[in-house]
Amino acid sequence: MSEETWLTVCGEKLLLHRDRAVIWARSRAVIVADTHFGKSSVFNRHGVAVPAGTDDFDRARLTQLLDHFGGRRLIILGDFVHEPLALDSQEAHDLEQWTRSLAGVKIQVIAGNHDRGVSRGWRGSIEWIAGDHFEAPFRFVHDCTSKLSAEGDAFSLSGHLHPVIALKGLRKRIARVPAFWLRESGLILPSFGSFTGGFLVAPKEGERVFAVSPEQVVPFPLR
Amino acid sequence: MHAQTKLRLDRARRWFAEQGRTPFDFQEQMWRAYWRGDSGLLNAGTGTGKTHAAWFGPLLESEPQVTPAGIHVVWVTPLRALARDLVLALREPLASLHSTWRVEERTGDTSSALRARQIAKPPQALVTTPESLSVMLSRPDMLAALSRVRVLIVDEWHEFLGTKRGVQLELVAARLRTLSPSLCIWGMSATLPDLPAAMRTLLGPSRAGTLIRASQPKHYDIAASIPSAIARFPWAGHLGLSMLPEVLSRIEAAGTTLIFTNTRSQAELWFQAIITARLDWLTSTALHHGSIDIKIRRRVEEGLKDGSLKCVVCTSSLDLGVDFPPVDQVLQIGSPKGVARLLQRAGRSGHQPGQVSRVTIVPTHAFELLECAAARVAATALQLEPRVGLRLSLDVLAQHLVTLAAGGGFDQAEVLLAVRATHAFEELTQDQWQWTLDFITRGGAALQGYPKFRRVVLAESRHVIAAEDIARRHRRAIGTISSNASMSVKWLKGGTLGFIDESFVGRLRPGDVFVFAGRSVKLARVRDSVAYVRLSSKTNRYVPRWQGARLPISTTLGFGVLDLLDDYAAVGPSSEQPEVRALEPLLRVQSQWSAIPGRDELLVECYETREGFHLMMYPFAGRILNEGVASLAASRLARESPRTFSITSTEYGFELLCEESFVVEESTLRRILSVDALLPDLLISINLTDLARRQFRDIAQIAGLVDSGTPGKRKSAKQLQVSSGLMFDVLERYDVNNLLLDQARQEVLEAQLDFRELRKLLVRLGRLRISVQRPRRLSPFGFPIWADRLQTQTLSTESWRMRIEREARRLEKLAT
Repeated sequence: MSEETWLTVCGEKLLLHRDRAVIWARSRAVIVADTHFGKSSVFNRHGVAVPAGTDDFDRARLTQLLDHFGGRRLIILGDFVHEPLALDSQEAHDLEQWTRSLAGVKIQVIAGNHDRGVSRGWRGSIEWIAGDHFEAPFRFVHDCTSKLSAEGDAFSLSGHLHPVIALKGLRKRIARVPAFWLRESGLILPSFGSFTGGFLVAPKEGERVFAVSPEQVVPFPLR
Repeated sequence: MHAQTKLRLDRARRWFAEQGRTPFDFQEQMWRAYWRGDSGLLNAGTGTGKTHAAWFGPLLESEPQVTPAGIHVVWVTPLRALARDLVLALREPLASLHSTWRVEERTGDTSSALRARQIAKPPQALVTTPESLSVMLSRPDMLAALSRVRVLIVDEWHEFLGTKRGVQLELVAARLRTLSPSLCIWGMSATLPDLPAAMRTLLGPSRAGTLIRASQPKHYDIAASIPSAIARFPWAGHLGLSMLPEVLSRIEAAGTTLIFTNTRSQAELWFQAIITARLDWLTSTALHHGSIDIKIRRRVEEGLKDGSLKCVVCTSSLDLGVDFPPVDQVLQIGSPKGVARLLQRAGRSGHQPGQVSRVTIVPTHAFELLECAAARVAATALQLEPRVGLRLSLDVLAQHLVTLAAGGGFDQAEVLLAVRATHAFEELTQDQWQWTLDFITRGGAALQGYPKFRRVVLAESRHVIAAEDIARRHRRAIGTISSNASMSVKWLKGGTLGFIDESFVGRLRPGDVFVFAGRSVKLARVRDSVAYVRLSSKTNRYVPRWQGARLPISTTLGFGVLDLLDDYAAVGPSSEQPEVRALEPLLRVQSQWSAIPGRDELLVECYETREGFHLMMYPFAGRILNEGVASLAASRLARESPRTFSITSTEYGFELLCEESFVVEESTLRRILSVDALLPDLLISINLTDLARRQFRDIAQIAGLVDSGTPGKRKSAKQLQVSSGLMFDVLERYDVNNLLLDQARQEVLEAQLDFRELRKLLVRLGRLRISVQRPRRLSPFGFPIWADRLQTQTLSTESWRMRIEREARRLEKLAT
């Protein structure tokens, strides 16, 4: 890849990847947020017809990222599942198979609001972390606006918000594209799941936004 | 005459005599037709006595003391705001006719207590909307009350025709007929070019019907308020508020005035301007548009009724029904857009049978004077815009089938028969039917995976709803009108002002001041889809723009303008139309520098400036069709040799701007305007996927793929929120054969690009003589197009106005 966007934060190098992931080089970690596995079947159960396929596709994307960067860790910043999965469900079975295929990769999930109640369902061989997780120099958290822990002033990596920005195209058409939102206090990741939407963000002065296109991650000029 | 008919007629005539009136012929015709058991269509405008024509048939069919069990008359109106007035109008004759019938309404506004009572004790006549009627059909406990309906009356059928609500109504009518086989259906419609077709669409293609026309045609007086000085180089909106003094003196001179505008922002703007100029009118002037809270709108309507208001600035929100006494005058700000629309608005004055309806057009653009004259000519000749019923809207069919499944279940063969008897679905194929059934039972075609999908299930050979919570969600989502994402606007201290586009609020920061519901308000904060505001005294403020504001002029009107130009070319300044005479200075420059196109001519202008090479054409077909021709022509030119064009289109014509010049010969023009290979070339010229994705919004809501989230009401369950765009992307990737995607593409071609009309237009252009002019500079016809392009390219309004005014001055000098 020729055009890569690297950030240096707290002395650590972070790669903002076009597949809506952050690669933490030193720790060999692939970091993503808001995968929302099982979302389409939740919709289907409620009578909203959504075809299957996004979950398989997203698992393949994660596997590919881990393979490509030789990742040893996968950190998911919350909302790993859309709703807790029953132990005997097909969705749990598929995730179980997949995590097993990732031998040698440690999977950690910072539990998000959609993961609530996961203790009653499928947990897999995943390290579930409630609240936030500090690992110098970063604080990993689902929602960066939630209550701060002891290391509350550490630079945070978070999800939850599903940030997107609006690009003005030809003839006043507006395209919404996912974005990384870099604030003073931390970096907010775009949602990773293919069946997830976005929330239009309004960055303030001094903040930076990186738009994610299918080809690359580009800094978005702010007025 | 049948003795019974005579008795009934006598009762009706007696009642009319008590009111000091005699029934019109068409009223008696309609009663007799009804008593014969006919269905049909009544052609009558507002204020002609159509309500009595439809009501006395069923009301007098039985003896006064006979009160049918169950709902006997279902009366459908396009706006729920009209239901209340209609109920009062229908109740009016009950007492003196000694009738024991009850008339009630059931709309989204009806209290749950009344709804519950209607199940136990159904009224004899029910006034409702297509959406509420659908919701009733989705409730098993309403079936008993709806199983003996004698007549379905559809008020203002022209409003439904050509829309998905119309399709929904056709399906609902088919269902009522299944429940009650002796059902009669009567529509009432304003004048349309093809009334028999309008009737067939409502009744179903194979049913005979009786067409009745109100005997007295209404008389219309359409005039324009002609500005004292005509700009020879006008641009859209250049007249702005300059006509305000004229408008003020007209308001002053009349007792009551309705001012119609084309957009809500324009209504806000004019209301502000009027009350700023005449502070003492504040209590007698009001604002009425679709985004204002219903309670405030009701107060305005009351004010019109009790005479406390002298002037109301409004949008299409007052086009329909809402019964209030006729006003003294109607002003239309800006283009009338279409003939039928203008007549409807004019009908607000001289509302009574036999009176003249007057409307004055206040132009915002000099060319709108031509539209005024064209509208008058067309109205006199009764040349109105056609309306054709939609076909094969599978989203509406899917919604209807879920409705039936929730309302006690359905038998597949029986429903298919009823559905195919409607106009919308007479050509439904077996594959399309099977896919729609699969869609509601499996989520999609059998080969695709929709894990755990459940919505409708087959139980003992009947299709029934899978669970009560799904039925509940479906009922909430019924309704085919989709609105843009909107937010409610509330006072910080409590109380609602109305609704506003989310995209507008998204651009505001707390502290920003904007104009809403006629007041200047400051945004305090935004929370849970509510924008909280407080009153502000600041003057620097924005006027919100609402989506869907740009309705194109109709081709009827556009070609009418072309006819007037043809006349002008023939007889010169002595035209009998005052508006054309007023435009003489402009038209003279146009004919000196370029040419005035005749009715058999296509005017093409090309010239070079520092900006590049301009190719202008004037099909006069309305903005959408002009844009279609422009994209097609540009893409064909680019294919012949690689060039880049910027395209600008307006109501009358379009411009293709290219950096380097090229030779424009008749053969080139014939080639790029050819109707051959239209569809493939059009698909190359536009981004169909992008357009279809936008179109899908509406379809996804109707078919139940996304929740509409009615403004102000509780949002859908949090974990079920999804945008239609995302849904489109997922379907396109994982269920590419989903017929709803096809429908989106089809609707883009038909509704957005108006493919059929585009084809007709190209055929027409192919027959015209082409007149290629090479003016040395912008002509008066070209100027507004140039100004339009500049507006989209320039960032600030200020610098845009300055540039345009400077250029207009320069051209004015050259023209003298």
